[in-house]
Amino acid sequence: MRRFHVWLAVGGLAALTGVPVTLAAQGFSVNEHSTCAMGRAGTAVASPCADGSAIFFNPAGVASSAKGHTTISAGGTAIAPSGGFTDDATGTTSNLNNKVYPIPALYITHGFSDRVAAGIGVFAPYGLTTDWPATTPGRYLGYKSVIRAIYIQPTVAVKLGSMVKLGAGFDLNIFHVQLRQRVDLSTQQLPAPAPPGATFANLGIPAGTDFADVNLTGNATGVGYNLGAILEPSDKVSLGLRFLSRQKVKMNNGTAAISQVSTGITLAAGNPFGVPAGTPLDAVVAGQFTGSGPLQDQNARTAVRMPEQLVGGIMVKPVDRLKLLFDVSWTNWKVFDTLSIITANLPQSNIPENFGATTAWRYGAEYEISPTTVIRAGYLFHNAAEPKGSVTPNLPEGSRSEFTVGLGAKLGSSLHGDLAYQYINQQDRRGRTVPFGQPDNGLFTFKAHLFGAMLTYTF
Amino acid sequence: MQIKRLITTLLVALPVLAGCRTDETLNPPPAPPVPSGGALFQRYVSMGNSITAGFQSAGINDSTQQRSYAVLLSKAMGASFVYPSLLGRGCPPPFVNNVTQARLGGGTGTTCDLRASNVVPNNLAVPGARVTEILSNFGVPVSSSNALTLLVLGGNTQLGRMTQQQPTFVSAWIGNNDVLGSLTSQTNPGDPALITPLAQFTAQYDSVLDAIDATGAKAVLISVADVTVIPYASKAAIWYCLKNGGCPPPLPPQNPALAGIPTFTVNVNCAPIPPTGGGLAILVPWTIGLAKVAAAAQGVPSAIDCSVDNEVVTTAELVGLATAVGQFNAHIQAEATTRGMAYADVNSALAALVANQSIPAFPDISGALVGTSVLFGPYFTLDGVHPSSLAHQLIADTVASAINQKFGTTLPIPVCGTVSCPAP
Repeated sequence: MRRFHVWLAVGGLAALTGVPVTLAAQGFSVNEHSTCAMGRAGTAVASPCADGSAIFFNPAGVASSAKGHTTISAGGTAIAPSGGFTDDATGTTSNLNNKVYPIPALYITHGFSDRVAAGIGVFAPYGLTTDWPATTPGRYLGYKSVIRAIYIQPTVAVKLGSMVKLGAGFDLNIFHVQLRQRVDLSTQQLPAPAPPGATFANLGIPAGTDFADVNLTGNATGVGYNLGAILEPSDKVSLGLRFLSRQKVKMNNGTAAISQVSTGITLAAGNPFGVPAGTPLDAVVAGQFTGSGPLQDQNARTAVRMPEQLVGGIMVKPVDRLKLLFDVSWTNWKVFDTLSIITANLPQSNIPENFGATTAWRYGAEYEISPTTVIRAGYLFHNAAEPKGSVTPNLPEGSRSEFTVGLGAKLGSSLHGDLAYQYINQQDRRGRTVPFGQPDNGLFTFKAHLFGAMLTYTF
Repeated sequence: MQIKRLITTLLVALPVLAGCRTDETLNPPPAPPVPSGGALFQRYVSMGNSITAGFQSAGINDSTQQRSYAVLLSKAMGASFVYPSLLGRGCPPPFVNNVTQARLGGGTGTTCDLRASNVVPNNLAVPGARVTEILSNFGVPVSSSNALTLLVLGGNTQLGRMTQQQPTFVSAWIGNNDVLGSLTSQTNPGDPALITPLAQFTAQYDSVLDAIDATGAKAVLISVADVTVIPYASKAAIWYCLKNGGCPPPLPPQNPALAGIPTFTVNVNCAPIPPTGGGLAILVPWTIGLAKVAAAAQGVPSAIDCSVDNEVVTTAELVGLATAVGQFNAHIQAEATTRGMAYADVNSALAALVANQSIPAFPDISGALVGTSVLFGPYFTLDGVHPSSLAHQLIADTVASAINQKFGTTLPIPVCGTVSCPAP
């Protein structure tokens, strides 16, 4: 009997296809940074809300801050996603873990003069989480993906005359990523004397035999900028334009923590590894996780690009108490073409993603029902960044229709509160839980409920 | 005016954009076609040992696997059926010469090439498996698991894999090795200690049947082969007559080649005592008999002595083997009846082949001393134990007939000829 002294030629990270995740917008971007704006489907570039969120939606809007006044806003959005993957062949469905994810936001603005204002904001324009059970069929591509890109943006804005406002902000991106996946022993290469390309499946190890768990984590920082302009030809119409720059975040100090997972296989007599009957298969491969084995915890490097965003919009007031808003935003997801992961002991993994640019169309309305209360509503639609063939458990993304409602109320002379609800209805999207290049093998579904709340204090 | 136009445009655009969103759908594979033999055979799983796996001439590879009766039967059913194809030379490669022990592709008895990857086999049979190894890969006191256990079952058991596959129909040819191991023992042919005790056999066999019943599948149970009539072992009386002559028909006359080896003797305790006594009730495995002839031909005095228990199957041991086969089959047949399963008796066919001498009473050893293979007739391969491709066709016909009779199906008989089978 040919004896195989196990050495895993490909190893744990080779199949890493991890992509950070979206819950709330195309690609892995997030647009819910203001409860006021959320209530009107994120339409804010032409007429930012008075909660300081102009720092994100259009830095020029910060110039609206009244001289000598400071505004502090704090709040967040809770996202409750649901979704799953249904396999074409078996008809079985694996659902996302049922969790609620918070997105906090904080803004401070101050009017230094009638023309100049400044502020600082903390928000997360990219990120969130996809969290599947560790038994999900797509676990070899990834069962948990987390991205957290927290932008800290100091901003300055000026008024030029009575109609023009300009603003600019510097973005410091505090970036965190986590990708978890299982590794299937049956797909691992056998060493010589096995012929090239032979795997443990050629020894009878069934497909779907987990033997390792990879947890790739890392932190990094990036920098960029956010520019905005607002034109107000009359008190009934305003136009806005905003550009958020691209960022390339290099993560050089990441860690790939690799732990052994029991295969549950006990070897019988005469096994090809030459070990006594009753030996767990885990013991045969255990050496890969210790000593000089390739599956020890190791350094990992990758780089992720945050795409640039260009948003234009208009606000009109057909009657005094009604605002109608329309934004169109373009996000250059083309920059996310390949994800490369480099580890200390394992072959480099280059995963084609081939994202495409996306466009979102946003429609919002805000009506002042009393001097202290406004109601809001909105609808938005956007297409998907992922092309056919790239839809995986890491980013089960599709085009979306989203519906929003909101309420704003003065809670005193200095305090204002906002509430909003948003429903995301994502297109059911065909995707795959199998390696790149293989045909889509099932259907991803995704829906989400979002609840926002924000308090704004002005003094 | 411009504002009104803008509002109008937005209101028109909104529903248009909303309409752009179209759900994609599941793409389930088309339902598998109903097998030509009927829905009963939608998911056919076979369990067993070397014969079911397709072992021939002391080896197994893709060529022999595809000639297994189970594969032929699946063709008759029109069922989708996957076997764990062994790549290359096999595991181990079959004999090309059983005297020199040369194997296909220059392999040895420990050669084991790889199997095809990513297949979920329907043929779960593992060579060497006794009834206990259907339930566990760690049979006691000594497991007969081997390299093929992992290659075929991937760490599971035959029973576990069978259950996973949710079969609609199961064939089970189990129990041959519960007596064969005794016959083929290299230390004491016919060793009664190597026959699975009846109580253990029936309990374990019933556990297998309980698991099949639990799946809801229909099944055919195949009788334990009568190992006392396979050409692996021949009557000691024939050895005696071939060496010494003087025996009445149907016993053979003296063989000049054997008679001409003065250092080779067959003791008188092997002589026939009609009608069924003496050497007529003692078996000599061909491996032992031929080894003695070969040694004698080299000038080393060698004798077949029917009083040497560890070289022959004594009369008592032969009775023990036959009794075990009979008891096992009585239980299997009774359980088949009780559980509504078909019962296929291969021993009737085997007996007919013995009667018409298609299974020779004595192997053809005429070329053995010059290095050519010992032959066992058209129905057995070069190990004298495992059926040939031709025999597998006969087995398939026998099993198909039992299935048709029990379940009212119309599987074609003969199977091969009606459906395409590999050439024997």
